[in-house]
Amino acid sequence: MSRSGSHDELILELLGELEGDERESVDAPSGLDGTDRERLRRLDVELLGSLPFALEPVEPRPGLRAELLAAAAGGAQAGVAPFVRPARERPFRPPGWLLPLAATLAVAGLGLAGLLFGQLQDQKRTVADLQAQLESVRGSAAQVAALRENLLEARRQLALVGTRGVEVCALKPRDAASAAGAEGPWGVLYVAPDHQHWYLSVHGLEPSPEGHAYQLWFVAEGRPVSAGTFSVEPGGPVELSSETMPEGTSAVMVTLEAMGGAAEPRGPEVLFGDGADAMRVL
Amino acid sequence: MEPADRPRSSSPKELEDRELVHRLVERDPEALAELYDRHASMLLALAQRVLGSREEAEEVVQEALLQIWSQAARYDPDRSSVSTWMVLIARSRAIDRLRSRKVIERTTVAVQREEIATHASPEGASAVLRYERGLRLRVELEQLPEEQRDVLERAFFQGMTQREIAERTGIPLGTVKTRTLLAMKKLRAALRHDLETLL
Repeated sequence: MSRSGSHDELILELLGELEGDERESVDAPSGLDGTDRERLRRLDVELLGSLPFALEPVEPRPGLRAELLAAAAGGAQAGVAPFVRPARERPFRPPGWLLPLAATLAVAGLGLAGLLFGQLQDQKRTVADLQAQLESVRGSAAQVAALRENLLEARRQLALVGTRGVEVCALKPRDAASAAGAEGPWGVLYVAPDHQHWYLSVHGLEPSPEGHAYQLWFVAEGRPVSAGTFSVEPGGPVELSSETMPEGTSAVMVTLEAMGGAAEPRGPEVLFGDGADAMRVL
Repeated sequence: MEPADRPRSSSPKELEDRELVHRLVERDPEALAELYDRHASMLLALAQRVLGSREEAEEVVQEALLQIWSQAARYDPDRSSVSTWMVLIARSRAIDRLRSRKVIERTTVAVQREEIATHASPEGASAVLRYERGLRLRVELEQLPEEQRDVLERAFFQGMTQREIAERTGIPLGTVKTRTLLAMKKLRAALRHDLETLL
């Protein structure tokens, strides 16, 4: 039975499961005509509609009214209705293959433990910053919604990097000159124990040249599988995440491609991480 | 939709709910604001009771009011009062959300007796009427036998069918049906005068 909440359906939910004569024998006086029955139905509807009045009223938080009116005004202008949380742009849309990445990863590089700790601290600071920002911009519906989403995302990422059994893989340039530079780009890929969820943090990348974009690849069964393109804000880290990863992934890399991305890597490789160098740190 | 009885110049605060809905059809945001002021706390209590989450309840109330804003022309005064129409829309959205996250079990334990309000500061005649209506309803609900009140609340606030209630509580289905009907009948008889004013 549907629970869409229309009046008749609601009555059916509560009363309609009785057979006709069953209900009449219990409830309705015999000899009711159509008008009386309709009046009884209306009384039942109003009775049900009154039930929430028996609850202790809950005062809405300040700002909810303004958000509603702003959303209504926005919907009236754009011809769209209901409130929807703004979707967070996700660069990664690979097929949902399973990945036994852990099977190919070996414990290496104790320095990654420190790196992980630093990432955790960064994430905690991010959560604290976002929470502070969230409080300061209450009243602005769009800002609050965006910050809330960012906060949730940050919490999800924090939860992932702190998961017992998470595996960590460092990304760095493969050419020795770039790798040795202290200012060069680097990244850390966290893979959850389910080998599906992952979170990648990249630092030190220059903004891509005009007409170009960075592209993330997972190397699975020896073949690169695109995980999407992304842009870089000057000075800002890049944070990517997804709930899926190709099955058989053994490495990850970032290349610089023409805007829109490529079907297979053509541009220069910027970062590379070998699954064989990954480690389980928790 | 019945035409509004009062001129456009009337303040929303002076208008009946039905007239405010008519203003919604004309895209008057002040009417939406007034309906929010009158009913949001009750709708929020309803959604929070269903979902057990303040944050989700606020989202449901906002969604419901935006639906009311965009579909005001569908309101039929012959079918229900405005407050009941709003309640049913909000309840429907809350139940849909509850079903979608499949956590009825989690909220079952959250169904506790609501304490009767000991204080309130309603402003305006309509607020006083709503407060008194709620108070009388609480009293009548408290006077219902526990088993009758329980099945009614499970059906309304958790969206459970009578069959589901029977399975969950281990009570025979026929008993659940009878208890529901008896609860409805007693409440209808006790509150008939109040309910008639809404017709």
